Amino acid sequence: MTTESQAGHTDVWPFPRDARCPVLPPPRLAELRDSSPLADVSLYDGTQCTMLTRFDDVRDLLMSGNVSSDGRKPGYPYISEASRANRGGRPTIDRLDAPEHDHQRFMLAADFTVKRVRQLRPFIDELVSDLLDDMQSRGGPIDLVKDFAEPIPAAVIAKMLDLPLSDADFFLDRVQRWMSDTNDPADIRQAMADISAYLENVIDERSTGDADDLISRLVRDQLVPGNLSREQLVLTLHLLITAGFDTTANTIALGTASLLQHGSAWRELAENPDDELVDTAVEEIIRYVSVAHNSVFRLTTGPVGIGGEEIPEGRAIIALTMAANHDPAKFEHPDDIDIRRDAREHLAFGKGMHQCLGQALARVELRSVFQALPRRFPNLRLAQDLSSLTFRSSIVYGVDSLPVTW
Amino acid sequence: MTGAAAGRLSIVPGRCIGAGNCVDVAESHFDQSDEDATVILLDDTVEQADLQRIRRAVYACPVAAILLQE
Repeated sequence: MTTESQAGHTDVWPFPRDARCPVLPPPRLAELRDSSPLADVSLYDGTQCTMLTRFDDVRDLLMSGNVSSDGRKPGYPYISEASRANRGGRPTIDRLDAPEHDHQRFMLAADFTVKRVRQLRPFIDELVSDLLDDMQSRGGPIDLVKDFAEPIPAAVIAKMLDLPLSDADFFLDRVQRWMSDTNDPADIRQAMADISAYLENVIDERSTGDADDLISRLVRDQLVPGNLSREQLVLTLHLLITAGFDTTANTIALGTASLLQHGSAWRELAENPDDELVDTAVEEIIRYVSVAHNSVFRLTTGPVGIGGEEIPEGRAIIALTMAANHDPAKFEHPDDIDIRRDAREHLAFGKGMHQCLGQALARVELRSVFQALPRRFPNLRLAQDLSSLTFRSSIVYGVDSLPVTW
Repeated sequence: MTGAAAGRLSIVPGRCIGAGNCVDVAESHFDQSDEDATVILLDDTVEQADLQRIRRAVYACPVAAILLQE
């Protein structure tokens, strides 16, 4: 059913990236994609997985009714001991199947509709504009990660959950420690415990009153009537915070870096920041950087037909959206960033019932950023070569800092 | 062909998860419930001029909850 690699040994995921092109997916993926639809890959603990790398196959698998995301099931694959630890056996909606998943997702979904999040656009535009003013008055070089990319999602989440912006640094530190693939499991559990204690406190404070923020409403409408346990509420809030921080921040940073390496794209956006071009460019950036590079694990609960072969029940799967998004059969010259390409079908937010809850919010943030940043800084350039920067091995792919100047 | 219906839309009951891609791509035809974000079909008739956009919305749905009969 699957193929052994030529040398007779099995590849171990994750594969190394190419230091010369650190934003692009690991080069080994293109070889696997060219040779066969299904590849045998093993994980750190010896778990044998079937890896999918072709666009149609990854999409079909994620939409299949015969796959589970329930991380408590025996045989469910984890990328590292750290990843196993950060869940602590207590699943959030990304690691639950229907009907539990649907029940919890629908409690949150109304706050993330396209209409609701688009109402945040003036707030986000002002936030972006203020940060750009700061950059301008300080002068380059600055660190685009710390001084621009991270503060945006931090402020947006703080607004949605009505948390003080001054706590953003605390969250960012704990989220990054919690998400790391290389961190010590004890420290990951501590980072989780710190955020949980903070959230427990907030829940207590909001158990009375009639405030309209998301946490107050979840307390009133879900916790008090018993639709959601206190532990589930803490985990759900933890998920909203972790999912919203690093994903958007790293897409801003890696997207900017990628555009700057293709000077004409940056210039084009600077000179012509109309909504249609910005929307198209943002989809291409999301495709190109595919930062959620590890949110791709499944377990089959029945046979799944993929690329003319059949994957049996009980098989651990890596449905590699990042590889699918760089499949030349779907996106011509996939390793070039082309802001006029129609990339809307990319799988960077996943596919199937677990597709990103916050995608509309991410789009609003990214559209605001890539409309304003190139226009304000048409001569922005990298102050350091990309290959000399430190990239992050985490649930989300990213860079520690991105020095830019103008 | 101008103005002639080129397709008809319907929603598979109970399948939508409220991801909102259809609204992002084609708000002329789709909205989301204020209660649980699930899809509301605003117009089931697709005219020729809208067909391309509606096809993209159908394709963007992560759970194939939108059916387009052309």
